[in-house]
Amino acid sequence: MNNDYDVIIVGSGITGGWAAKEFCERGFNTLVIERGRNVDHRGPEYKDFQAPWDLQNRGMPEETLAENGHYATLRKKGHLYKTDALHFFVDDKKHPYSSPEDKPFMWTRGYQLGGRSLTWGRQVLRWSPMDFEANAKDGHGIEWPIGYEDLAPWYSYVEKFIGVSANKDGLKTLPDGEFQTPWEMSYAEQYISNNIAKKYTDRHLIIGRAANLTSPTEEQTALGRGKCLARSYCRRGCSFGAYFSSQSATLPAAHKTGNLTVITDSIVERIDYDDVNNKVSGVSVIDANTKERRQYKSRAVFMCASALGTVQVMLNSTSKTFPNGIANSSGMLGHYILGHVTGVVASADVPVSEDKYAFGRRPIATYIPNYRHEKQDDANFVRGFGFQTTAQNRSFSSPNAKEKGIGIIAKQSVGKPGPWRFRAFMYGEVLPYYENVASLHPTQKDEWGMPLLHIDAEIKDNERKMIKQAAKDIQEILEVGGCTNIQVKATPENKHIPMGKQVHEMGGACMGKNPDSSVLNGWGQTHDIPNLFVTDGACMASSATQNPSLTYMAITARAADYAAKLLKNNII
Amino acid sequence: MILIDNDCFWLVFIGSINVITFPESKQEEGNVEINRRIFLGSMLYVVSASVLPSELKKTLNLTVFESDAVFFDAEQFTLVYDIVDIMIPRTDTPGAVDSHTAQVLDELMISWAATSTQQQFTLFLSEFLQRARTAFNANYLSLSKENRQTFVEQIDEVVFDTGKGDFSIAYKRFKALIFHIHYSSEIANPNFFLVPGGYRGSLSQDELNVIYERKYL
Repeated sequence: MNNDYDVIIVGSGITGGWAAKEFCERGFNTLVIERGRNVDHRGPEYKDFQAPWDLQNRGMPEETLAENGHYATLRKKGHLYKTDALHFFVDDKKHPYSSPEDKPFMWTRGYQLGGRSLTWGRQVLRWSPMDFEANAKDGHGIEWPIGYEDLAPWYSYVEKFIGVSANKDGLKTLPDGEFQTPWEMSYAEQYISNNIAKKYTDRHLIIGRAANLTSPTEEQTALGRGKCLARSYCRRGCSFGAYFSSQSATLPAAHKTGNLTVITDSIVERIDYDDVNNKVSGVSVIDANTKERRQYKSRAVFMCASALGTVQVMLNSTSKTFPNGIANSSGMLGHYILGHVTGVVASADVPVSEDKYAFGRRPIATYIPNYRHEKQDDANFVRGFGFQTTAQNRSFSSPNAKEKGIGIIAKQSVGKPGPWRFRAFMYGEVLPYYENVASLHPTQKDEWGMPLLHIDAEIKDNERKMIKQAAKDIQEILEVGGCTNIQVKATPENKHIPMGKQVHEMGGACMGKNPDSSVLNGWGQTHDIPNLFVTDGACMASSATQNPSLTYMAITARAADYAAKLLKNNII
Repeated sequence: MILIDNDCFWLVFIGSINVITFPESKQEEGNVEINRRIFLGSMLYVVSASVLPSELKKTLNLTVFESDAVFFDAEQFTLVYDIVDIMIPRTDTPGAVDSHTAQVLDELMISWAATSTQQQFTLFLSEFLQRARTAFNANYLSLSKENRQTFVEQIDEVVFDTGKGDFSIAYKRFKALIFHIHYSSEIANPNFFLVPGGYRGSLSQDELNVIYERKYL
């Protein structure tokens, strides 16, 4: 096997797939290295055609898994710990990481071809100009070297390819893009949205923006992708290719060029560095099964191994020039670990007058975008929060085994239509904190000999203040929305809120203008080494409140275009 | 004779008594069988439903199993089958018997349950029988349907009102599992569609009924 390539891409998830597509379509001999196993698109690991009664153990993972300490992180998340897609999530007993006892971090991972793009939430939201300007404006974190205008054409480029079903809402805080037919709001959601619009100019309840096809283009159809049929079993893998993933879209597009090689079960241990020429020369990998080591060479390396995965590999890539991790002359590698925080959950009845119902399982929620970018009179914090919300189906009385009652009477109460119930989950921005840091554990290693990643990160006073305000705000929003029986639960100040719970971990190799205070420039290129790029979540200098994957993809496509020009001109 | 979906079970109607026979080959599998027998040894009352007088069987409206199931033995399975039927009876909609809840539970005790749960449920059934004997001075399985139903309803009430201790914890878990199995079954979800075909959020009852009839948007 020839181990020399133009470009090596570490990771096959949402950004690795994009990098592969872009380089392959530009004619570069490209290698994608995935640490997990191969998964065949539409293969037997996809469980999307299993009804609830067909699922292994009716959806319940074997009890011995919990008894023996498997899937500790996933078990804490609850709703993901089911047999429908458990195999697409990492068991942290087999792949451990560490965090301080008083600051447990929740790291949700997917080690398989396609990575977490198989199980992601598919909410694709552009950042606004204000989001990119926030660091410079309030002085937290490192100033972004790029702005919305730099990324806007790449947002469009990505949206056209992946397929985004959304409404053009015309909001300054959430720019519109290239959209397919939006999903419709339920009767109850529309009722609240209309009421909110009567009162506020800055707060909006909109339909979510989903990477699920509603009007497939010729390009999407040619890749074997079809229209979403509202099953909402996306995290099991979609045999119709209706939602975007590396498996359904970018990797097939890359394969078509004939320029793609994919290897799985290969753990990148380190990025190899040529001290003499100040270039990376490739990567060293450990075979996940045999534990044999081998090397691959390339003219450029793109790190797309997920924010923390990338940081782990870079920290482990030491050399004479970079004794504390590759491209880490600034000492910033591992710092500014970011994320989102949910500290408020609210629910309320929607007292609509007409007897209406919903049908189907819409694959996306509704959304209240961040309306607090500009500091307002009642705010004692910076940045802001939005709400992920839903009332997509009318409630039906369900059997409650946790309460008294059996027999005919208990049974007859089941399945009766009840009120529409609206639910809202706060999504707040965690500020960039230098002291939120990921490092290599000084002594503990995994079974392949890689030092464990130690993640020491927490939310602080600004986020706690946000939570208090979010609780007040959602109470008011639901009242204005016409809701009754409003219940708002805010996490008490003395209760720990683990970072990582919302999955959107970012940072650790942030972009910035100054090589002394950041790892990457505005192209995702390391300041120190011109042929090493990082375009996954590690590159983010702040987290905003929007789900981040669309921004990762746009950054990756833009960086690949830039790197391709450098490669063609033999600059790298 | 009626063949039920799961070909492990052959259902024979004998008057008002149903007798279900399990394939013998499933009874001797692995260590689980050994564990189960160990715990059976701790039971204070092991009731053999098969020794009930045949005339009595006819009046009890009781489904009696004469062979062991996969995890439960014949007596335990007769008891489980009866309790789930009382918890979720057949009405104008299917009940737990129709959804084969007892049979699914029996399979789950092997494929899902840890040893601790296997022990917990085995001891729960034993304690259940003991409590019935204390209450009625008779074997639960020899009680009339009315009395069995009253007894299970009382257990449910006491457990949720004031119950503490191992028996109450086990009952709550048992009940939760029974409800989960039945209400996640195909027969209990006639309006579940694996492929809805799309989403509509504002339908009248009539429009919804038409879609249900069509089974696709």
